[in-house]
Amino acid sequence: MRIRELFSKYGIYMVLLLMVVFFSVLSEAFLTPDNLFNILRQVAVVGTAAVGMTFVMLTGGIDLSVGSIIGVTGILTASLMVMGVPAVIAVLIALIAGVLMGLLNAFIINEFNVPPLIVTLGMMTTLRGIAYLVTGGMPVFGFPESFTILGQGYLGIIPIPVIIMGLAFLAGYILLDKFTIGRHIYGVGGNEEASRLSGVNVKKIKYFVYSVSGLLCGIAGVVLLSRTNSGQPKAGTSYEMDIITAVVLGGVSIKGGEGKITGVIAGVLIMGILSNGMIITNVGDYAQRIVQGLVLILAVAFDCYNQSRKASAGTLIRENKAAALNENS
Amino acid sequence: MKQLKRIHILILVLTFVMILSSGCTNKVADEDKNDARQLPAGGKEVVIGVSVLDLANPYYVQLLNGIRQGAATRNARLMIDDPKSDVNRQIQAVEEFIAAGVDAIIIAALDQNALEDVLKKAKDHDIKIVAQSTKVDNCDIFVSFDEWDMGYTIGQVAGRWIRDKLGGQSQVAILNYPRIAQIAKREKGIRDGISEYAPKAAIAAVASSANPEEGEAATLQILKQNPEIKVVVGINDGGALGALAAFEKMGKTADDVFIGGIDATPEAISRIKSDSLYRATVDINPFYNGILDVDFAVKLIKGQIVPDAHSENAVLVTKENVHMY
Repeated sequence: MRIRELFSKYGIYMVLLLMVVFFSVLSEAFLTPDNLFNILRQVAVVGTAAVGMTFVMLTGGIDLSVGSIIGVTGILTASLMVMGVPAVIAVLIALIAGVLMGLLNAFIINEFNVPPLIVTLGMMTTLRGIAYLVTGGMPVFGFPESFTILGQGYLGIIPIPVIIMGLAFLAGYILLDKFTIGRHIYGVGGNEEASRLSGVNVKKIKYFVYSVSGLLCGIAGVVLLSRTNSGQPKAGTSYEMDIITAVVLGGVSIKGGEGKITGVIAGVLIMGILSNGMIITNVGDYAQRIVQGLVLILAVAFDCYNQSRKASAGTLIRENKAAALNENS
Repeated sequence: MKQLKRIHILILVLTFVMILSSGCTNKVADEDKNDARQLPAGGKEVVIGVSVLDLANPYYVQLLNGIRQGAATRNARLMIDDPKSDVNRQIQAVEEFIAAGVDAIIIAALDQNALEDVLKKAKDHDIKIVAQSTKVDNCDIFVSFDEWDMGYTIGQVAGRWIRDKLGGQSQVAILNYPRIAQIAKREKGIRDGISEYAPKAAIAAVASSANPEEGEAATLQILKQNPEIKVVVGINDGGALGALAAFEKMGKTADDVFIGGIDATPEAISRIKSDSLYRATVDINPFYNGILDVDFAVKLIKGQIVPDAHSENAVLVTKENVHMY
């Protein structure tokens, strides 16, 4: 029984540990400080956005537009800087734009009752189109030298993108675990109707989570831009896949209401290690895609299986109670 | 019972990932170990990191096949990463190559500005850099077919066609692909080639398409709006073959129509052979380029002197020389 509990509680961390051991054995190049910092820096963009996605998915929603928001905010920052706007102001404007895009997602979801999957799918394509339209498909470059510090700089030995990701996770943890709004987010995902009846403003919660996702995508977009030092209309394409996989892998239920942000950290790291390890051990690219797709399916299958098990356990309890009541009467 | 199953699922998730990746890597792992023993001793085998634009693109698949062939004959081990047209991913790949301690990197850069810093870092680690197709700062050698030259080669034929068969005047459609910056140079080459021989020809339509589906859809649209178009030139064979399909669908199979592209794909070659409206393509032989890349990389590692740049001439393929393919 204990082992079982351990498995269900810490399974994800065991997977993480196993993967580290696994790739360390396969390649000497894996467990070097250089490479470990590479992995952390590489997951920073996806990790930062994954915090926002966690908020959204905890309410039972989904945000497919994340990759495109990352792209558009990057292009926006780039274009503003090229026009001569100081970097700090350009970044602020981009972050506000990120929030606005999130709010727009929530607005359509809330006010027109459209499923989040469809709204954000449409937004994903629309925003990507805007990024191409604005840039004419060409990269935007020529920023002040100092701007590269966000994506390429270090604080001590820690890359700045990693610090930004760390702060995002910390803020996410505090909001979800220590504040009332965190409980409400879990509540909306667990049972939206019950939350509404108990006086939670469900719409407000949704506005909040999608704008958090937008903001964090904005931050991720700026970091990515600084890292590449060149505004790519294609930046962030298909990141939604990596981000959602990481969040689900981290144990956040796709039905909402369950999951811990600490698990998401492990999910993000697993994705990073998987991708890094497969390159270092030279797994062909086509096989890499297969592995990443299967990981997503398996993670969701695991979650759905757990859910249905709990649901049936719930019915069992109710039936037992009913039986007990019958006996009493 | 159910709880037992739950553990099974978890173990399944766990082992599946492990088995999958180990199944793929076992062989490499062995090579890895050999490698670790040989390299510090200044052994013969060298490790080369490879990052090309996108392995969903047949051109780069062929280039990579050439690189593989070259590596096999020169005792080089490859570390391949497909950035899938994502610049950030390409930067990551270079970082991984540096961390893994490769001897050289063959890179077809997606964006020369974005790669500048990380390639400088690679150079600081004494890694030799072979730039393929896109010139980057800090490279030891730039191997390429000039993009403009490719476009110019096919553009010239189209221009001569217009001069000789259409009286020097025609409406022309160009299928370009503005999403990749360097292809703009190819388009410029096409325009320059056409206007050199047919200055009066008008570029009446420009559409973006890189594969047969897009090419066909775009050309059908163009022909509806502008039925006078007799000449279509694509920045690659993919799009231009779509244009051919569109012309055939609309029954426009007159003798004076010219369709041409770039890449010399097998289908394009067979269309030229079969007397279709597809008149010409440009052979840029990515396979041979791949072999060249490895050759230069190995020479650089050995400390031999190589030129700063090596440019192969694009070869025009038409009815006259198509029998050689």
